[in-house]
Amino acid sequence: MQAQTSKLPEFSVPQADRPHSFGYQLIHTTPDNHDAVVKWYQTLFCGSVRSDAEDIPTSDLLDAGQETICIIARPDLTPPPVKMARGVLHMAWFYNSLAELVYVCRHARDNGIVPYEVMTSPVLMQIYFRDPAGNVVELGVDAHDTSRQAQDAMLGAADLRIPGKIDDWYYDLNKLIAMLEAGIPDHEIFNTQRFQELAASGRF
Amino acid sequence: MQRTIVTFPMKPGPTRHISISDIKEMPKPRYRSHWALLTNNMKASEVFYETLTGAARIVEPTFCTSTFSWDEEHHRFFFGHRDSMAKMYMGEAAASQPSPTADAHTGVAGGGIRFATVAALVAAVERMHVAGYEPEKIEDRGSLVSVVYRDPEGLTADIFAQIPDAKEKPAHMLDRQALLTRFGQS
Repeated sequence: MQAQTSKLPEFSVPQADRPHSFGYQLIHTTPDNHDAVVKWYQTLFCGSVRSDAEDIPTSDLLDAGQETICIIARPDLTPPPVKMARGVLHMAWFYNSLAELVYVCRHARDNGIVPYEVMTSPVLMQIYFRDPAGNVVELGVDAHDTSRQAQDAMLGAADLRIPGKIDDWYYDLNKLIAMLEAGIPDHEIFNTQRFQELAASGRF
Repeated sequence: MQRTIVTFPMKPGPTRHISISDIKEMPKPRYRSHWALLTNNMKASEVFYETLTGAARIVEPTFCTSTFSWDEEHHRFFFGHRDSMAKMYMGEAAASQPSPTADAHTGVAGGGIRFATVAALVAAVERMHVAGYEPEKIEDRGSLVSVVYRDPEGLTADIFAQIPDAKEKPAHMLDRQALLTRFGQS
């Protein structure tokens, strides 16, 4: 992956006038998929469920420390007629540590929710799931300690070049979990070549 | 219409290096990082969200993708050219199938973007107005004001902010002028 720009971001709007964070997420399902989609998000995030709400309560919207996903059954809509339809390709939630991300993936796996792709780069690890309606959720973690460092790495063209083969970017989730459980440090996990060496070692 | 809300707490903070064996309870996400959007008009979607959020371009990883951020996050928006990406991942035949806009089918239908102050929200509404975008709905809930736009791909983009020291009340609709009169600086 060769980046084409390496300039610092040039914001035309003062920081005070830019958003604080994302708010709620809105998902439309067919009626027959509604309950399965609700259960899926409840399981993945160990969330609480409230049904038959007329609207998203104001208190939920104002609580920046809480995520709110509103799932609405729409009998007037059908699933997209094509794959990779226009609109949202995926929505992403990030965790504070690689261990926490992998813990959540282990919990998901043990409850029948398995990612279809585990991918890493020098900037971040991305683990992709599909909910029962086919919507894609990315769970991730930054390889850097701060957001600024991660953004700087993405801005720096050289840092986006991933060493090794493209196939090395894709990880086996079960081996990833086993390595974390065995205490392999984060920096070895994020090193794609090292990860694949460990994966091939027969230890995991 | 059946409607269900799933909520879960989040836990902002810096990236940590801890052992998986030290985790005693289900970890909470740090935050929602980004939306990745597919469009056949990259420029239209980029300009819409640049105007709405003040996001700046971060990088163009490939010829058919771009990323933008409104803060220190590496990206808040990923834009991909739908037909090019469909061709890349699924082949020519898949790319040639026309894709309707997001509001014509089920799926992720959009969501909210939180502003820290009503002043910042009003500034966004004014930026959008100058650029030719008008909201579908402006709702005053007493303690919160929400302004709903439709993005170029048919997604709901609901920007909202808390009204300080105000109590919740039944929602009522405003137009842009009423919003400015009530919350604008002039």
